[in-house]
Amino acid sequence: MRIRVIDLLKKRIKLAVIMTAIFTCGPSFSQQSDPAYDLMVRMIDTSKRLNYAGLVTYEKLGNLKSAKILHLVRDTEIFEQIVNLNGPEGEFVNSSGIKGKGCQNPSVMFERISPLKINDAVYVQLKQSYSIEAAGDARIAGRDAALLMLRPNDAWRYGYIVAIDKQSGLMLQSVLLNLSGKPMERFQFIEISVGGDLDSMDIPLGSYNPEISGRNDCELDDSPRKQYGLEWKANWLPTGFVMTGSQLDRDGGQYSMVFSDGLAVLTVFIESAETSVKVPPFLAKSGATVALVSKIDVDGTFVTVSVVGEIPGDTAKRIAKSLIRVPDSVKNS
Amino acid sequence: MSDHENRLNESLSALMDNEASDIEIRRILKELNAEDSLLAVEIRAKWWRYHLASAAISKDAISSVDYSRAIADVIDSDNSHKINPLTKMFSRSGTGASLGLSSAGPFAIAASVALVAVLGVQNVSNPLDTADQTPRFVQLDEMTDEKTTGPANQFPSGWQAPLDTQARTVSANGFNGVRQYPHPIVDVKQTNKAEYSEQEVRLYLADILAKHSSYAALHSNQSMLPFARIESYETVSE
Repeated sequence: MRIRVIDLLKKRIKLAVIMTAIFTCGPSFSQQSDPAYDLMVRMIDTSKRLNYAGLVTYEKLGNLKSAKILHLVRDTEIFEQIVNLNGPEGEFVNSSGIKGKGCQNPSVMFERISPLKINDAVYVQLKQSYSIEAAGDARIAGRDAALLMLRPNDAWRYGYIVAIDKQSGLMLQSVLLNLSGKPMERFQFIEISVGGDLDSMDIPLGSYNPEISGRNDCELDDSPRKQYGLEWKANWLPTGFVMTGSQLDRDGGQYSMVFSDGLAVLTVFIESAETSVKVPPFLAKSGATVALVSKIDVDGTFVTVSVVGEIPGDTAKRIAKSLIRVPDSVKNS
Repeated sequence: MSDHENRLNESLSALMDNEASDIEIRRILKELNAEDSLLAVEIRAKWWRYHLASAAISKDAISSVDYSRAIADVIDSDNSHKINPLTKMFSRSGTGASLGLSSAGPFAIAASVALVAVLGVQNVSNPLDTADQTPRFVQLDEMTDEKTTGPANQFPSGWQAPLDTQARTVSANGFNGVRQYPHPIVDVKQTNKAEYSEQEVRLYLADILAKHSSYAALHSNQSMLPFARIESYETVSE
């Protein structure tokens, strides 16, 4: 009889161990079972790994803009170029090292972290912020794409419909929806080529502004060691948003913090006294992007604090209101 | 249910829809005023439930604060409306000084009622005090394009600033369909706009937008979409 009881106990313990194993593997277990999230994570991964070029349209407030895009990834460098094809001539180039290849600008304090940070964290972040579900198929830029509907889990952020190329995993379309489900902007490829000659193509030289790329090179780190340099912090952020980097720029006059929930990004700028006196408080909005410029009283002087992002105005206001200056004692402890 | 009760219910729902006639409003007020009326309690409860349902449907914040007592107290403590209207009229026609005095009374009531409403509603809507209780639904704050017809020339193309960023109107008429919900006001100080150079403001906005876009390109996981958002390429290099 006693032996049977022990057997029973053993069985129970086994069961308990198995159950515990299932629970501790919870995130990866659920990760495997949700194809919509998997597709999203794959999209994020490929968009940073693949070489691609193409033509895109960007639609906002009834205006349509077309542009040429080039995205090249080499061992240590990512080269991104977007050239305006209609309206005013313009080109934006971002050429940056994958692992901070050293800052040219001594005033920049932080180095950039790897953008290739695709792991479970992104998955968990997305899961916290959006409910993602498959929404059928589409044909975009002549390619077969899977549609995903990303519904925000709260009203502090916007939703998206994205179309992902079935072959390469790249994002072919992204429609940003406001809180009542109306499209606010649409980004869409009309032609795209992936890999092939692009994999061996040299990175174009001379077309980019070293000042900009220098700035981007020296961007953003979230290592705790460097967080001691922080003077400001947001006491409130929507669930899922984490700080992905911070930077001291303009000879130490502008401090910026970047937050993301995996898709939406917002930047908080804290200005020097010199800039602060030049800018009035205002709130401006264009399409999905909101820019809230406000003043916070710090020891009798008004500091200009700006929140910019593809987020609802209320979110920007609440974040701006929650910003506090971290006392020196906390910083040094 | 008696005829009287039926009529009261109809009047109440008409009032809820802002379609009640004077007679209907008087009927409700009379019943509410009657001492020891069981119906009065019921009407109050019904009124509260109607608003609760309406707030839930329109996803507004639901307030559990009853302002009626505070408003009634304010009105009670004001003496100007207790004066016989005829006396008031006579005194108005008398001297200019008494006119000023008698008109200040109602204004004071309106102001203090508004104050109660503002404080009360902000207390409910201010989410900053309860940071951990993130509401599932927040108030829609989609500035419609009609509202954003500010001084467009001050901003990069496609950018407009609403004029009423700093000053918000607070409306206490919660049952006329249009809900003007007061938000916690960001700590912005009204400043004289003339002090600022348009050029500086435009440059500043373009600068933070461009920076945001380039950060977003690195952090949003949305490939190169954030670059497409950059409005003004010239200012990026400045």
